[in-house]
Amino acid sequence: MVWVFLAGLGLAPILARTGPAPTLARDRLALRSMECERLDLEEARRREPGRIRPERERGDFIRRDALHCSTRLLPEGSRPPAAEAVLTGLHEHSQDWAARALRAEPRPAGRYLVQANLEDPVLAEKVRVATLHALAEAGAPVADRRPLLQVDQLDAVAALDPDEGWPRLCALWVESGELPPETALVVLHRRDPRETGLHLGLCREGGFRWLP
Amino acid sequence: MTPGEGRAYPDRPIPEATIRALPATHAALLGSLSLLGSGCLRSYQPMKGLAAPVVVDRSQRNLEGVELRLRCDTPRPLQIEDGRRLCEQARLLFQGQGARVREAGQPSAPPPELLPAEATDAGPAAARDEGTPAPPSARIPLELTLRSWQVHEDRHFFSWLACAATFTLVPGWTERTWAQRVTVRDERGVVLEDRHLELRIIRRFGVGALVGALVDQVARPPSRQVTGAASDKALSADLYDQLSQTVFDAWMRDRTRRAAEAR
Repeated sequence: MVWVFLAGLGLAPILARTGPAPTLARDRLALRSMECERLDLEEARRREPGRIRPERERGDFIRRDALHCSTRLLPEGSRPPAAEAVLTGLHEHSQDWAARALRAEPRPAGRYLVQANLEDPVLAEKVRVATLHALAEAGAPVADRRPLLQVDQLDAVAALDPDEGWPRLCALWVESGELPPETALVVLHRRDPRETGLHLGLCREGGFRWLP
Repeated sequence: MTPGEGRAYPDRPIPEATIRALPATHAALLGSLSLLGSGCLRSYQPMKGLAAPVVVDRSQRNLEGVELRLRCDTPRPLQIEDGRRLCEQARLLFQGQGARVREAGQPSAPPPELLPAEATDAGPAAARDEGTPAPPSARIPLELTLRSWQVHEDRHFFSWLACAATFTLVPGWTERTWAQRVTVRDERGVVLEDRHLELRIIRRFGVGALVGALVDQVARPPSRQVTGAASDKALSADLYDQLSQTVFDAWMRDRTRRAAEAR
């Protein structure tokens, strides 16, 4: 009886190897700082080469799959959700924005500028720089500057709906020479502070359009 | 006092059959006690997408002006009843946020030209001219499809062996992983948002699980608990938050799409 009991206890450490799960050692905050996904073995091998034991020659006799987990760089609550939503996956998002901006017109612009419009200027700058880098990585000529505008013009435009404001701004910049010909401005805009995504627009030769 | 005084049967040996039966009796007693003292506990773990940042406050009327067509697709083995319940909860969730919700299969609203002008938001003039984009006050039609299915199930056979051998001191457990696909389309069927959510439900049984749950309840604040009612609430909150954020983001994307097409 005692041996059976001890054998049962001995199984406990083996049972604990079931991936991150809610336990006494892992509370809800720790669980929310992880992103997990259940994968079949083929997909798991593709993502983590060398870490998954290959199937035995005569088969494994049991069905195996993998639980792939990654931990967030910063725990939940370290940044405001609006910033977290933009910064999580910024690298992939900026590559997508750059690709879409470059695909938008058959004739590439001579130079690309980026303007990000978000409530938080620090966050906006991070988005702008990341998109510039993505454009440069994609082989587009970029310039690290933002078009300027007079304060009174800016106030007038800021009061407008973005669907009217951006075309007006675009025209003003081209008129004032801030955006010379052959220069395209990639715009990243948040329509509403409650949304997590950003909208992509392109200003070129005085015309502005959204790139849905 | 002579040896044996004070005891009823000092010299009578215990029968051998009784000695053999003792461990079995103890085991049965211990087993019964542990069964009485053990419980089945459920924990929820957000796996994919459910802990993604959410900005929208679902207690506010965020979706004023949206007409949402709700389609719930619940294939087996998820019980149809669970799917219906989720669909009903989603309907209430979005109605509370100001959207006009109808489930797929329900009769459509009558065409605007058949309604009196004050009954429509934009009036019949807007409905007559299909080529022009909807004015800002018109209801924006979106279709939300919820599709749930079970990704994985494991009964952890060895955990139940260990549970039985240790009189439920080591918990026996089963786990299920569920996936939820949330897709929002515009009236033409163009996908505006498509998110994949995954969650895991773990059920533990035994004295060990009960002790763990007690420690969880006593030592942790409700926001960090992983068992009991707090766990169930967390699951609902995460799911409703993600649904709300997905539909709101889709609506914003749809506005951009409409603005792009209007130019």
